[in-house]
Formats: sequence, C-alpha cells, structure tokens
Amino acid sequence: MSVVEQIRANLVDPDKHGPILKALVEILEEQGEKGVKARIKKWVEEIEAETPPPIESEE
Amino acid sequence: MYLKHLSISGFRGIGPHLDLPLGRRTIIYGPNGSGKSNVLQAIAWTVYGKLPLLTGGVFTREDALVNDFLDEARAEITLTLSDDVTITRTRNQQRSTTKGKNPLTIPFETDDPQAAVEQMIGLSLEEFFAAIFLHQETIRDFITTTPEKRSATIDRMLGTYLLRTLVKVVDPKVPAKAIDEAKGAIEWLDRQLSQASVISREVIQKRKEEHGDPAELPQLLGNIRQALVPIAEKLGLSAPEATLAGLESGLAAVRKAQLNIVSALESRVGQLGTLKERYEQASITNWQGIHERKDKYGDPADLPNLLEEIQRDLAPMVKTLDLPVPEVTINSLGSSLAAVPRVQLTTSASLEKKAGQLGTLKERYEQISREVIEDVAVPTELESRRTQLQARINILNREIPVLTRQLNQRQATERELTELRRQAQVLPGLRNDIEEMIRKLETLEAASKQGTLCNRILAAGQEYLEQAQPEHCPLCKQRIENLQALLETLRQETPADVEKMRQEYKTLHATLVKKQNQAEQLEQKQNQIEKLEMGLAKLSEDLEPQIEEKRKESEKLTGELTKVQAEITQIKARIELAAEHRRRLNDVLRKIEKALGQMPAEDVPGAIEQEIQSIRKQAAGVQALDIQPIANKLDRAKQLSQIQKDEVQLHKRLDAVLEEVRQALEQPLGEDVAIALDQVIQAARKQAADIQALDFGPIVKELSRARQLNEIQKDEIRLRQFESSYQTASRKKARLNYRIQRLIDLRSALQDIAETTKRHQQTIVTGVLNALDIYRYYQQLDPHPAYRQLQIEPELTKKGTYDYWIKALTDDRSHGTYVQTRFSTAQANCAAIAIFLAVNQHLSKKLETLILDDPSQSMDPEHKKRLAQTLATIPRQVIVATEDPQMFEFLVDVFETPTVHQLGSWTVDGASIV
Repeated sequence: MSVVEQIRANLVDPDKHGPILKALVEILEEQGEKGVKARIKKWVEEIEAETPPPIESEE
Repeated sequence: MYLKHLSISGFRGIGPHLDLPLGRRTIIYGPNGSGKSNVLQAIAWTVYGKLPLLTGGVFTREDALVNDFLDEARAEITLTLSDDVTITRTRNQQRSTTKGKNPLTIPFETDDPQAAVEQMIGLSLEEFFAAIFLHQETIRDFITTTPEKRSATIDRMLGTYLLRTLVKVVDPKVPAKAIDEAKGAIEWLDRQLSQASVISREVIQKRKEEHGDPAELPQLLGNIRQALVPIAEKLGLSAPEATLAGLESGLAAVRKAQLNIVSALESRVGQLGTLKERYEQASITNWQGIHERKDKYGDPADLPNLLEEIQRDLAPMVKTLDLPVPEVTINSLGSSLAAVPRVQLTTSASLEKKAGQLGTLKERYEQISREVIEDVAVPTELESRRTQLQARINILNREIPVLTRQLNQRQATERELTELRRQAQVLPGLRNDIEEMIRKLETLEAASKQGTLCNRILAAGQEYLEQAQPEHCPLCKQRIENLQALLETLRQETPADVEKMRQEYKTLHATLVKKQNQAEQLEQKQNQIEKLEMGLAKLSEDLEPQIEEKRKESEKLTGELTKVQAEITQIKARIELAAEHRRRLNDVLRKIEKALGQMPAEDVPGAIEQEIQSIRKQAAGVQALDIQPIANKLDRAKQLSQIQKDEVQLHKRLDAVLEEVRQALEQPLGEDVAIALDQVIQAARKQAADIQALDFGPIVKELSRARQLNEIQKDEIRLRQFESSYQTASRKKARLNYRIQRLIDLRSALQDIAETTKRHQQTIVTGVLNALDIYRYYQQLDPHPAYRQLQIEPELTKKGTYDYWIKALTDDRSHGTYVQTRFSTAQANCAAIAIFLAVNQHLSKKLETLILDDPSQSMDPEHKKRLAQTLATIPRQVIVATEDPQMFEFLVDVFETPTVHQLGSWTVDGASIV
C-alpha cells in the first residue's frame, strides 16, 4: 500500500477528503511545494467566485 | 529479485544505443560528465517514469529527459529483471520535463502497468530513493546544509519526505483567512441594515405630530423670506432665496452684517471723540507754554541782531587762537565758542613746552661748550711693531703643528717596527723546518711510487697464477714456479702499508703548504721593516726640543702683542671721544637754529633767553581769555530759536487736526468746530442703537421648525430606500454564508489531511528508526576512533515536521557529539552511508539491489578501502558509479567477479563504453 493510500485510510472522511489528498500529492510530486500552496489558494479563489445553487438564492 | 540488463537510447546525455549487462557486483567507472549518473537515473525513470531531482524550477522550461543532440528526439529504456521480465519506458521530447506522457510497456496484460510495476518492485518512488538509490546530492545534503535541509534529506532516506512536505505545505490557514473575511463582510452588512432600521415609520409619525407635516415646508420658507427681506435691505444686503439653505445663509449674513455695522458705528463714535480732544489740545493748551517762554527770553524777532552781536564779541578771541571767524548762525557760533577753551589750553601748553625746550637747549649748549678735548692720533711705530709681532706669531703657529705631526709619526713607526721585528724573529727557524719537510716528502713520494708499482706487479702476477693451469704443461709449470718465487721475493720487499704512506704524504704536504704561506708572509714583513727603517732615518731626531723652543717663543711674542694692542686701543678710545664731542656740539647748534629760525651771530645763550621771555608773555595773554559772557548770549539766542520753531510746529499740528475733522465730518467747517463734532457723534450713537435693536428671534424659531420638517422629509426618503435595498442585502448574506460553508469544508479537509499525515509520519518515523540496524554498518566503516556508535534522534517541531539530530557516542555512552559539529566531511559521509545501508536492508524486501552514485567523496584511501570492503559484504546486488581511480581499484580488488563498465569522455554522440 502506498503512503497516500495509508494516509487516506486514516482520514476522518476518506471519501470526501481522499480526492483532495490525492490531488495535493500529485501536484507536490509534479510542481513541488509552491505548486501545492498555489493550488490551495486557487481552491479558495474558486469557492469565492462560486454562485450558490438556485434553491439557496431563492430563499 | 535484482536488475539484469539495461538498454538505453536517447535518455538525457546518452546516445542512440548503450547496452549494459548488470551483474551482482557492477562498477560503472568514468570521468566527470561521462554519463554515469544518467545510467543510474535511467533505472529509476524506467520503473517510475519520473525523477524527484528533475521536477519544478528550471525543469518546467525544457525537457531534460530526452537527448537534445539526437534527431529522433525520443528516449527509450528497457530494463530486464532477474526473472527475465522486461520493462520498457519511452518518451517523445516535450516542452518541459514535467509535461508529457512516458508510456510504460510490460510483458503482461494489466489496466494499470505503473501500479503493476510498483507492486512487482515492492517500493514507491520515494522509498526507491530512500532505500535503493543513494545519490551524491543526498550525501552532500546530509553533511553541508542547514538543519532543516539535512532533516529533509534524512526524511528522504527514511521514506518520509512526502509526509514531511505535506505536513509543511498543507495549510488550513488559507481557507480560514477567507472564512474570516466572509464573516467580516456579513457583519458589515448587518451593521448597515441595523443602522437603517433605526428609522422607523412610528418615529417619523411622532416627529410629524411635534413639528408638522413636511408638505407645509414651502409655505413656511416663503413666510420666513418675507420677514427676512426688509431687514436685509435695511442692512444693505440682497434678498435670500426661498430655500432652507438660502434662508439659513441669508440669516447668517444678516446677523454678521448687524454685528459689523454696529461695530463700525461704535468705532466712528470713538474716533470722533478722540479727534475732538486733539482739536481742543492743539487750539488752546499748547499755546500757553509759548507765551510764558516769550515773557522770559524776549521776542524771537530779536534773534538776528543778537547773533551779529555774538559774532562781534567772538572775533578777537578766535584771531588770538588762530581759529577761523564763525558765520552768523547759532550752530557756527556755538561750534566756534566750544573750540575756544580747548584751543586755549593746547596753545598755552604748546607755548610753555617750547619755552622749556629752549631752556634745555641753552643748558646743553653751555655744558658742551665748557668741555675741552684734545685731538690725538695712533703713533706709526706702534702700528708697525704690532704688524711684525702678529706675522712672527702666525709663522710659529703654522710650524708647531707640522713638527708635532712629524713627532707622532716617528713614535708610531717605532712602535710598528718593534712589533714587526718581534714577529720576524721566527723566520730562520721556519725556513729550516720547510727544508726538512721537503726532504721528507721526497722520500715518502719515492717509497709510495715504488710500493704502488710493486702492488700492481703482484696483482698482475697473482691474476696470471690464478688463471694458469700448470698441470697441463711441464714447461709452463717450471716458469710458474719461478714466477711464484719471484713474486714472493717482491712481496717481501714491498713496503707494508702504501696507503698509510700516501695519507702521511698528504698530511705532510698540507702542513708544508701552510708553513710556506707563513714564511711568505714573514718575508713580506721583513721588507716592510726595511722600508720603515728608511722612512725613520729621514725624520729628525730632535723634534721635541724644536717644538718646545718654538712654543716658548710664541708665548713670549703673544704677551708683547697683547700690550701693544692695549696701548693702541686706549689711543683710539680718546680719538672717538673727541669726535663724539664735536658731533654733540653740532647737534645742539642745529636744534637752536631750528628753534630760533636762524643762527644767532654771537651770544647764543643771550638770544635764546630773549626768545624764551617772548613766548612766556604770549602764553599769559592766551590764558587770560574769558568766554562766559558770550556763552550767556548764545544760550538766549538758542531759546529764542526754539520758541520760533515751536510756534511753527503748533500751527502745523492745528492745521492737521482741522483737516482730519473736515474729512471726518465730510463738510466745510463752521466757526465752532467742537459743537459740530458733538452733533455728528450723537447721530452715530443713535443709528447704532437702532440696528442693535433688530430682533431675529421669530425668524430663528421658524427656521428651526423648517429644519425639522426637512429632516423628516429626508428620513422618509431613506426609509423608502432601505425598504427596497433590504432584499439585495439578504441575498448577499445568503451568498456569503454559502461561501463560508464551502470554505469550512475545505479547511476541514486540509486539517484532516494535515493531522492524519502528522500522525502517520510519527508512526513511520518511530517504526523505521527502531528497526534500523545502523550500528552494524557504522562499525564496518569505522569512521571515528572514539565515537564508535551512531543514532538518529528525532525532534518534533512546532510545524509538525521532524528535525533529526545525528548523534555519535562512545562505546560506554559517556561522551556524545553531533556528527556535523566534530566529524570531518569524510567521517560524516561514512555516517550517511551507514544510515543508508541500514535503510536499504529494512525497506527493500523484493528488489535486492543497492545503487550508489559516487559514494567515496572526500574519503582517504583507508576509508575508501573500508567502504569497498563493506559493500563487498552486502548480500544483495550492488551497482556503484565512481570517477575515483583509487575507489575503482579497491572495488575491483574486493568484488568477486565484478561487471565493469568503463565510460569514456562524453561527446555529442552520447556516453560510450571504453
């Protein structure tokens, strides 16, 4: 079992947090530490740009 | 499982084809840059399709995996494992190392070839570089970098570097900050809404009941304007606009104008009062003083006659004192009168001084005239005698030093002769010794030559006898026996020790040369004695009496010369005294001539006395002059002049005041100026009182009500705006709350990952460190004579990563040190390799291979040898790349049947096997 799989197995919410872990490890291997920091920042920016689902905006 | 064969094409600096069989002990040897590291990296890249040291940074700018010099622009590597399974990795050149695919081919069907290969190898990429491949960069980092980097390197070796990096960079604070910002935005919206909600309809209705309906505001503003317009016109202002701002501005202007006008009127009243006082003072009060002064000093019209009288009184006085006659003005007369007493004093003193000087001249003349000094001259015979004496003394003074030098020379020569004679005494004995030695040397030389010749004959004969074979020839036998007898006779007659004779000859010859040199020096001294004796004969023998006689003569003549010179000096002093007397007499006569203006024909003292009496009479006349009556007249003239000036000044002042009054009243002046001023002052006071009495109270009250109505009107507008914008703000809040929830999810995920990674890291680090057998390899490499044990001590940092401290200890653990502080580079290298070998044994279970890239950096021959021996004991496949010839030799010596690949210098065609 790879290191990523070992960590994933121990996460509080593996299904929800596992993909984020996998993405972070891939970016870390390909782009290094700066790449990971940039990705986290970009996630935040994407959330900030998101529009809530219509059902919430109607409320 | 181990690696069996490697075939590389176009990877990094390697050319189109490079085949490398890999044995249990493989050495890749070549110079720097020959491609050794590329071969080792090719193994890792084939298995994993990426290389940790070739990611990020500059590797995002070019593809460093594919050989740039090959036309194919393609890399292909085939790795054959010990069970003949082949793994092939290919890559077409891309724009960067990190971009593009690196397809993998394996000899069996699977959905995920990469996962299958890693499953087969049994190691992740990170574990591969921790346990299989020890890179030269890793060793360098272990030794020379900062604690942070060193700890990162150890994490790489332990296989926990990925965990370390994740712990470091997964930062939940980034979404947390965004959450705080969104919450702040919601709070701001809430504040805005709560401020707007203060304006309620109930409050507005209550204010309407109190102040009226805002609809009444135009009518109210019109009423206020009607009340304000007449006042503004009265104060000289324009009518205000019928708006709240225009009326407020108009009221403020009216109030300001009221204050300004009242203030201006009060100021005018004060100015006119002051003017009235000044007029009364200029027209009455000041003239009283003028009249009093006229009564005392008279009419200023008398002033010209008085000044002429003063000039007449002063004229004889200024003439006596030799001063200029003054003009008929107060200033000129005053200056002249002031000069009189000053000049009176100086003239009197000057005359007294002149009389005194003449008296002194008279006394000096009489005294010098009484002195009588005869004229004398130096006798000629006395001068002649002095010249003779001086000439003779000079000759003697030149002769005495010459004789003294000759005497000293003679004495020095005599001393030198005595010494040379003493040294030359040994010369005859020395000559005898030399003759004796020459004879002895001749004897020794002859004996030595004879001995040498005999020895040569004996040696030749002995050689002949040793080679001869008398038993084969009866004739020869007889001759040989004769020769033996002859040689025996010769041996008996040959001097016993020729070599000793030669040594004795050499010693004696050296002594002879030395004595001959000594004799030669003494003969030179003998010649010197003869020369000195000849020189001595030329010098007189009675030099001392001669010197003594000349000294006595010199002393006697010097005494006589002193007496003659004293006599001449005395006569010359008398001559100088007579000359001085004549000079003094002439000097006094010149001064008398100058003082009297001419030289008296006869009776010089009588003429001087007559002049002194005349001067004293003149001085008495000057002292008798009296200026007081003239001074009194001049004082009266000054008073009259001042009265005249004051009258003019008072007329001017009155005219100026009247002009000011005329300007203030702005009308021609009547006869009674004071009454006219009083009337104007009363009128101004009345006008000021009228304006002061203006009442703005009702207008202010109405304007205040208008302001309230205006505020109510504005609040009604704001309330309508808030009611319409409330929906928009609610939508914004909902959107922010949604964002916060999404950010909280992200933060939770990052927190979960960071915390889980930390825990996992702790488990792995603890487990691996406990399982490592570092001691065994450290003992084998034996880098330090005292610190013979090695251990890794982990320390958890605030960030959640580990700092590792490599500690070396003595066997009894009484002393410990950190490797980086006391170990040399080579010793620290050994420590790093020991840790790596232990990690290899622990982590790599399936692939039994060890790859080392240039592991002997900085090591001395002893440690290189130990390293080679240690590697030889590893029960796994060992692949070592080195550029070090010594390390290469050691490896070849200790490795059993090594596979050696020697690479040549790199060219653009790629790496090549020599």
